[in-house]
Amino acid sequence: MKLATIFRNSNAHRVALASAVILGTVGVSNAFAASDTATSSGTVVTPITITSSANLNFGEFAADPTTAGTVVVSTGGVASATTAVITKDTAVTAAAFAIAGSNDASFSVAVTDNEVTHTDTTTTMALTTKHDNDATTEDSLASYALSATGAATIYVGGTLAVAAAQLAGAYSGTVTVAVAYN
Amino acid sequence: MTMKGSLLCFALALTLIMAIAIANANANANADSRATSATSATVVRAVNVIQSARTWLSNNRLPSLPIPSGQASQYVSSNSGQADISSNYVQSNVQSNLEALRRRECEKAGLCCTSPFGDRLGENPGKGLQQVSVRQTDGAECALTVMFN
Repeated sequence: MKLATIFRNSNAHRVALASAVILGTVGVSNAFAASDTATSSGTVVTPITITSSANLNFGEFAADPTTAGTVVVSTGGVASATTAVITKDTAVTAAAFAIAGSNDASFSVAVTDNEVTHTDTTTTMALTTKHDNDATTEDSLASYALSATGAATIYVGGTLAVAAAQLAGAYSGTVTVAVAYN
Repeated sequence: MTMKGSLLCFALALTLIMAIAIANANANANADSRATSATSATVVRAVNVIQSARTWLSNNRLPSLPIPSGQASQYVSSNSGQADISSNYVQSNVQSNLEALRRRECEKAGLCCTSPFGDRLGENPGKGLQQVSVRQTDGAECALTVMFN
């Protein structure tokens, strides 16, 4: 079929006209389209984590039979005592907790110290803790900062209240440290 | 709706989704993290030292080391096995005398004990055995081993 014949056909005329209108409309629409871009941004913070890396061990000591005293382990892991006598300090250690998170971020520290309990499950010694981030100052601050590489260590020492004639035996307990971004 | 309007709506929705995601991420990151370490201590039964310091240091010399267990009771006496080695009397006298001895005699005698009780007051329940050891500066022990019944 020749092209002239096709356009003489009235149906072909109508189809062609409709196509032209549609294409024209699209063309007009494209001629008025515009685009713009909104920038979305955000920083996903590295979750702060804490891991216990050393336990708080007071070693061995003998209690005075008549006078209450204390046994202290510094955050640097050094033992000392009043009234009581430290008899074995080779196992003495301060607790240590490794913190990881965002570089240079400030974080809060909350230490929960519990008493230590004899294996008889009833006899106890009260425990009071101190902490720092350098195993020296024992400043027990509420907040510290992570390093430029996102790391920190919290050291925890403590003082045990030793009663006069404190029952001999093994005592145990826990120290929990909670950290959160400020 | 025009194409421009559609694009703006899409951008707003995307921003909202990202904001929610970031808020969730921050909320998770800021949640408390906590860890627990164990605490431990061992209280040893104390013993009573009566004449230890003066006896040990008589003639400005430490007794032969280690003290034969059979002779140990002359240095340490018990108070029904519940006595005190930590009294200020014992601690101060033993320490000061040992320090004095160390200064005067330690190097000649080769003892060089720097701590009256060293790092060990052991206890063997049921055997009535108490040990007190004094470390030398070279790390060896001047084992003052005592026994009481």
